[in-house]
Amino acid sequence: MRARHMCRWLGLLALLVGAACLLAGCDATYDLVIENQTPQPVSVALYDRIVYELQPCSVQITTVAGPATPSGKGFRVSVRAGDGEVLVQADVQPQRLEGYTQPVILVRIPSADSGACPAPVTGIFLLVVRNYSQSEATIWLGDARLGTIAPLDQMAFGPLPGTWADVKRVQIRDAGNNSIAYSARAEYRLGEIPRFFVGFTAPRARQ
Amino acid sequence: MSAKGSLGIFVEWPIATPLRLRENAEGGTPPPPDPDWVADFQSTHGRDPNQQDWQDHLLSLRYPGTGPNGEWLDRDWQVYYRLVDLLGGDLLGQIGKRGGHGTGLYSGIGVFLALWKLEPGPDGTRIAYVRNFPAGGIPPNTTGWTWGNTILILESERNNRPLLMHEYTHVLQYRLTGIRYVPNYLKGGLYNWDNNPYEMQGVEVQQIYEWNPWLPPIWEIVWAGGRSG
Repeated sequence: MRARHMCRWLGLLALLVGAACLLAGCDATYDLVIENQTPQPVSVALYDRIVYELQPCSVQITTVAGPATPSGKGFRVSVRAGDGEVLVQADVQPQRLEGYTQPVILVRIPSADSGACPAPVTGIFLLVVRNYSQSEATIWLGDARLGTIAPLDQMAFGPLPGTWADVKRVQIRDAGNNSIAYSARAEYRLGEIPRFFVGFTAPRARQ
Repeated sequence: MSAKGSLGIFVEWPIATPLRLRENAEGGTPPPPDPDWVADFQSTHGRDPNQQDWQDHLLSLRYPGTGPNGEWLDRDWQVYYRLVDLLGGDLLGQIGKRGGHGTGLYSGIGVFLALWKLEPGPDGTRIAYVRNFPAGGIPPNTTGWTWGNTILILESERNNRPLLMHEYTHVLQYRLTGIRYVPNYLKGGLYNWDNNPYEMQGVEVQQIYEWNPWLPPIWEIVWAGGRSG
């Protein structure tokens, strides 16, 4: 009797989960990597409305949300030159790449001249942390304590060995050892050490 | 508090306190606008500030901007107003509310999916930090999933602030739309986000927070009817 009761609950749970998956969108996170290998500025639009401006020979990395089960056509991306001319429009399929924890939407804008930009530096990075709060915070990378950052201050750590995937290992803790959520993105020139920016805030202490 | 005290407040409050003052995010009544701030605002904007301007000013005092000593620069205000305009009064007006029965029903599904492993979240939400199926409550490849006032976030994304803002945007959408949320969502496109207004709003909010980590969380915004001019 008890087993039958349990089966009924598990069946209901499976049905509910199945229905839920079909009914409502599940949000997935993708790493968006844009590499401008040309000596001209470009702008890249995702979903036709979110625009990223890139300097010549530069890289931007950020995370974006997308459907967990993308439609077969991938993510719509368009690339424009500085003068507004559309260089390319394409549907980009996310892919698994080493050095990233999420599926990657890789947008690489190649140049006709192979020597137009320096080769990217890989395997090391600078971690630039900006504290927008008015309290001190401690920065950790996995088990390694990197340092303490003063209120409204910015600090750079490194070069550190690793990749964009290591940004996920950053922990920011306040004086009470509570974890603080943060935003992370990367922006750097090809040929330079990748700079990963992490920023966080918190409300001012009540007077 | 005694009955007499309560009555005293009840009788005196409308006389002593202008009606335009409303509760702020901390639950208290904001102080009367600072005359110096009013004069400064008038000289900068060429108009009188309204209650929304005052609430926005209070928010800027609570959360530092990107300028020296945490001052909000013009570009900070532009980003903030972009966020406010993107969400609009309909959604911002849902902050502090819980939604109707429809939202409650969806919240219940979320509680079920989270297997009741919920923590109190901001603004009356409940958050479960979970793993993907079959070990946890959210489908494969999924990092965030919102059901009414219940938010499920992949354990490894616990510190992902922009993702939380994306999911909280869905909470406000549920509160506004109620039981019609899922049918409307389906109409927008389940896997085709280019045409799904709920997801486009969430994606844009998330992108704003990716690039502007200093921004106060959405639930701290006090909606007082919008700024004038």
